Amino acid sequence: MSGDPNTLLLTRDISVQYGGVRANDEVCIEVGAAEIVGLIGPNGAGKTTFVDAVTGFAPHTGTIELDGVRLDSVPAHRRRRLGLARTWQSGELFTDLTVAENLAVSVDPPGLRGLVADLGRRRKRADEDIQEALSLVGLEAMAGRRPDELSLGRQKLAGVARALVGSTRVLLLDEPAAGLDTEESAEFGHELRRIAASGPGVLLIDHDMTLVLDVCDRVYVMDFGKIIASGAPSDVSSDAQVIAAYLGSPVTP
Amino acid sequence: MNDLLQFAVIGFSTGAVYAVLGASLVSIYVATGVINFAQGSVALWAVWQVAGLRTNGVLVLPVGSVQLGSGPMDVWPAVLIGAASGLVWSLLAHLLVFRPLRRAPELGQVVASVGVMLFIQALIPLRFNAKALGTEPSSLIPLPTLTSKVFTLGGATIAVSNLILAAAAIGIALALAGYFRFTRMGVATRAGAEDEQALRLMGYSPDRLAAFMWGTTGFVSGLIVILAAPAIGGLDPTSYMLYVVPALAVALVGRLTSIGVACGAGLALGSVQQILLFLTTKSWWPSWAQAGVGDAVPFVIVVVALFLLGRGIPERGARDAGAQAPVQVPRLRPLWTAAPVAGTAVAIVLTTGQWRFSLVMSIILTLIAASVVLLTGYLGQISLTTMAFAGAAGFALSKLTTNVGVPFPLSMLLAALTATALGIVVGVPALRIRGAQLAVATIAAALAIESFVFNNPAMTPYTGNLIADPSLFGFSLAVREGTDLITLRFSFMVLVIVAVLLIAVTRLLSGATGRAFLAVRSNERAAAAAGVNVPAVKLLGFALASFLAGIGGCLIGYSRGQLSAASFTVLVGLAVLATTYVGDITRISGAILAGIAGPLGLLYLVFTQTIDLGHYYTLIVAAAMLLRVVVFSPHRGAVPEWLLVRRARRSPAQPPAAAHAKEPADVR
Repeated sequence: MSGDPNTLLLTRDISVQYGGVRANDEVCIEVGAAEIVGLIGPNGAGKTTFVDAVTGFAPHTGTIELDGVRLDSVPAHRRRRLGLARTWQSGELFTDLTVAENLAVSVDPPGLRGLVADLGRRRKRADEDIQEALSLVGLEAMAGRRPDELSLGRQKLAGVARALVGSTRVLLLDEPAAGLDTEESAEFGHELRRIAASGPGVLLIDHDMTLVLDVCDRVYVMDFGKIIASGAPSDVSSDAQVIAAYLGSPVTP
Repeated sequence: MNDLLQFAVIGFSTGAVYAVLGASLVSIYVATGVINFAQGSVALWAVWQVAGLRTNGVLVLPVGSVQLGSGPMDVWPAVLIGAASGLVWSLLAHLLVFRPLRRAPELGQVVASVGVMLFIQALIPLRFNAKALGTEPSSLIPLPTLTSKVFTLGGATIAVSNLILAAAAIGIALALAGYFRFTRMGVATRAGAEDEQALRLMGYSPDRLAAFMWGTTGFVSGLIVILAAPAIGGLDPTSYMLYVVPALAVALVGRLTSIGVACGAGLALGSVQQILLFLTTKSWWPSWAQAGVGDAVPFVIVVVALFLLGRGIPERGARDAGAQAPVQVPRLRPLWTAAPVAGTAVAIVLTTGQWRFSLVMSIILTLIAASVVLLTGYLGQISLTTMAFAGAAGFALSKLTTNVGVPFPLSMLLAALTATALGIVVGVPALRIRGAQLAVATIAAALAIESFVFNNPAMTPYTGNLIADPSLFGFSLAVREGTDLITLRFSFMVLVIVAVLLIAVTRLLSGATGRAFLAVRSNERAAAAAGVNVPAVKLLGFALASFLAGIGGCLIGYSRGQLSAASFTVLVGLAVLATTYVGDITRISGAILAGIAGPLGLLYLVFTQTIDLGHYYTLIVAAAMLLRVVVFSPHRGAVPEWLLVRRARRSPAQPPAAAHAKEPADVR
């Protein structure tokens, strides 16, 4: 177990096998409360696979704990309800619903109790949570819009808001800044800081090194499914192994 | 043992039909991504064509007819012309319906192919009439084409024609498989299904390759059915049309990719059905399971195949999810709810006899169509089982009221809950399959329920399935009183029940349940990531839809005083889907339109009473369905898309928007 009582998300020996390919190989990471942790690595390193495994979308071995609760045999939707939320590389918003309704899906669980509630009085409590999540990403004005009326950047922010709404403990962001320009990306980093300051731990996966090195407290580097380095951003960026993974190793005669 | 061999070989005749139809379905799917429910209907036309030619040389066309020669035509020219008619129908379906819809969402394609299926099926009795044929159509029989020689093998009598049929099926399957594997055109066709744009860049015309496949499969499907028709007997349009269901089952066994497996499974299925038929005559076979076993087998095969093969069945993930029919979340507005209800109440008072009866049928059908809106429009699960759920509830109602004597509101509730339980069972395959494949599983389920339950003599007493009249606190709500065909009380009871349920459905769809449905329809993975229990929501949708349909089935039962299986056939179910799609499958108001236009509803009465178009009802519904999906599509329409493509061709600088590729949902 981790010695740090602050740890929210803890994975141990997460391995994912796709046919003959070992896409994740015994990955162990930790994310603490109000902490932004980066996960970087070259294309195909297994970063998205890791997010899929942790959130219940890829069969895996190893253990996942959220605040001491074992999650590895819990289905995806339960993990979300327990506070482990994720976003997708493409926004993946529900196209038929407005931005606010997209968030509402995460707040009101459907089911038999939901049926009774739908037939009876409307629930108002959810609206405050939705407004709060939208204001954290600066999309209050877009609540009534449909996803296809939003720019790509805003669609991604709406996806982040959907993952934030409710009692999210740890947020896994899969390339949230891909497709954003430098300015938008910097703005996004700023918002990420605000989000983390409001409590949840964040695992940030991105190619934008400036963003990752700027906002993250700690960084993990993944290559060929393994964590090859970790530490403070400044340490990691000068690590020889990391440079090799990103730029290739020098040719040895 | 000899008996088994003998019946296994007899089964080759239907088996050959399943095999070739199944191989054709796989071929079309590989070439175009379409699952063609109309494959049996295309072959049906071919059989009638040959019957007409061989009776007195009449070539019946969709419009008009031509006399070829002075008397009956010889066997082989007639067979060739008949098979060619299959080719022409198949090609027409491709050019007019499926080609314009090649980028449409799966619901549109399923609706379109069901539309083609109903259209041809309805056209045949209209066109092959006494006037065109010069004889009563009921006197036509499929004349033999193959040798009638038999020989004995180990004590079993074996007809040579059955072996020829099996050999023909295998030959056709080998030719189709060989085309895809060994010819450049075949390989290019497969490539075109994956990436049409890339194939175009390589100098092929995907349209022409697809057209070749449509034509070929139409020809071979027509041919095998013509050859098998004398052995499988009769010219009943419905049974030929429904040969597509076992064919779809074997195509799924071949994972929609293997022509050889589909062919082998088809022949085996034919044999198994015949052997089962033989075994049901044995004394040890339970009498309740004598009828409908043959139709239940395809459903079992589909379910088992889907579960064993699971995700191995190709999932065409490259559908543009955004192109689905847009949904407007309904809002309950008191005036807009009260006005139609009051208007309907006034209409009930003002009408009598048949008109009031049709009005009440329309009200009931609105409820059943609302179940289609909920399940297919909102939750995106294409289900063709709706009427079977309704019928199952009506069936349960009959047992509950006559055998057990359960009093009125409880009896209806229990009967609808029976349908709900059935709905959940039928919904289970939906947890692993989606889109058109789910439509296949549900139509197989509907057929199995129809033959195993509704048409099973062991479950129906000789007096019929009577249903006791409803009454509440001693106050009769019976449909008939004296000479009154339909009483005011009964009509108002129906109106109140349907209005209350529709208001409840609207509230559900505008609340968290509706949001969860739309989330699942739009993106299952993202829905799960947002905390929605996708399997539970799907089963909830099936449960709600079958409950609504079940109440509708009970009301239909009460309106007749007994359960008639004819009200709940697969065909009626398809007509309900058709009218709901035409009305607008994503809105409750669409359900109301569907109620008005549905089978035996108001529009039907208008057709029969005023302009004598009753015979054309199914044809008109099918044509409306096709027009709706191809021309006035609720998703981005085919006509605007066609214009876009034309514009893009003129100014190639603007490439058409690439389809947004989506990985198949993979939710634990």
